[in-house]
Amino acid sequence: MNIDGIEQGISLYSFNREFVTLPDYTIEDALDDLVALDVQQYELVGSVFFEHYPRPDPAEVERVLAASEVRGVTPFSYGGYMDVGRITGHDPGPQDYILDLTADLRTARELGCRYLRETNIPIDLLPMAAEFADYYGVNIGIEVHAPSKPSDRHIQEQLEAFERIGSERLGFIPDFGCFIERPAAPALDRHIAAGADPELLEYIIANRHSGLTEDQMHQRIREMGGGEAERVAIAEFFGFLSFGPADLDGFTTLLDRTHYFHSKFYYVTEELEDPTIPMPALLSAIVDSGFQGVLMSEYEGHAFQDSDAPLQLARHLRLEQQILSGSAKQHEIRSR
Amino acid sequence: MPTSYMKLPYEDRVLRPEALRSYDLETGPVGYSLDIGLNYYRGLPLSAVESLELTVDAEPVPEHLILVELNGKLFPTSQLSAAFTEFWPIKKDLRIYVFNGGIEDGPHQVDLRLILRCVYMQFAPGVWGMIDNSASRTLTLQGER
Repeated sequence: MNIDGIEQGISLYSFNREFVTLPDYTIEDALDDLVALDVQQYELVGSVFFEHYPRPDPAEVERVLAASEVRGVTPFSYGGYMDVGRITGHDPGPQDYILDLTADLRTARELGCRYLRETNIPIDLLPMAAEFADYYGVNIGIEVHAPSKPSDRHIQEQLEAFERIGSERLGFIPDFGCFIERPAAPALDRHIAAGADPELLEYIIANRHSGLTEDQMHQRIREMGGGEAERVAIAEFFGFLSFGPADLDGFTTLLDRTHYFHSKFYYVTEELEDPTIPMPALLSAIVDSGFQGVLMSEYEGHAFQDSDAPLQLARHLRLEQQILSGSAKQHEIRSR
Repeated sequence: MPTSYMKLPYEDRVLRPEALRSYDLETGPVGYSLDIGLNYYRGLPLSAVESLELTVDAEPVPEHLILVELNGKLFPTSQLSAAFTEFWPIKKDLRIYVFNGGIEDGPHQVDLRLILRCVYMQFAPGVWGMIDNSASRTLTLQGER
């Protein structure tokens, strides 16, 4: 659906549990699930869906294009990776980054994607990245992903570099996982089911931002009687499920340099509320910035709960539609 | 400090019930094979294997009896770290061959310790995120494929 210039897309990573655990679930099945949600734009992550990476076999690319065409859907963006640690014991240098960037740009171009998502490009290589993006006619977005936050120094330095270089090819892809305010109940339930003490989990959550490092927290929880289940929870809460007060001010600094958004989510209730991520605040900042482009829903609840990706995505799309319709009206009123 | 050992909830697919199979030739039993699935959300280069240790019925399997097969190629465990152009896709198993003359029919306790380097997650020079792909399961020896 397109609401005042903001179009909803879906990252096929949302169907990760299905793809990984069901032997017969294919890219075609993922695209069928996409179509059933009435969404046309999607992101494909190469290292998930291709058997060959960083360069897929031409037949694999052909298969994605054919399956897309017959369903009337479009690969909007390609999820690449800087797998620069693939050579054991080797400290990656510029050549390693350029190799991976080039491989992903080629694949993105072959898929007809307008955007390539990259995980990290060193600042001194960004001018070259912009040049390569011109060669391939593909824009490069650097994902701002938890545990990073938009206000972090390294993100702001990237923003300054984008401004300095001045190429429209370079931009950000903020991932809403940066704005988790508190782990969702299903995430906690999984640790409790694995044997974690609910009180110790609460202690970890309450003291996540007390200045303790991950190791110090682990040590303290061990002293309080915690074990392996709590260690796994700590690793998660200091890693991809890092949480804290949402960095909304930092978020607004990136908006003029944003290619599109990963509208990451973990759980939407039946009442269409996201208890983890402040969606109304994020979406109204996007509308106020005048952004026109794609909001890519990305379900990651499969990281800790049995998946019902289609149901969760349907709720998330409706939640976004509700907020966007309201925000668009508000914005119109404020602009008069 | 960064996330140390990530463990995703796909552990059930590391050692599937039918993963352990006898490996026989017309000359008799040669050993057995074990299929290993990834407990991760994406594929990884084979060189991401940091350590692979197999214990069957509480006996560690000596490294020199093991060969690892991926994409039709065989590797001793000591060479996995060099296999950076081989990609282990998420839906494909790694197959381990153990040349020990075979094991008895019936159930066997299989303990796999498999640590993988997260090749895109560097925290400092030489410091990478690690993925715990280990699993333990009692598997019943199956006939040859």
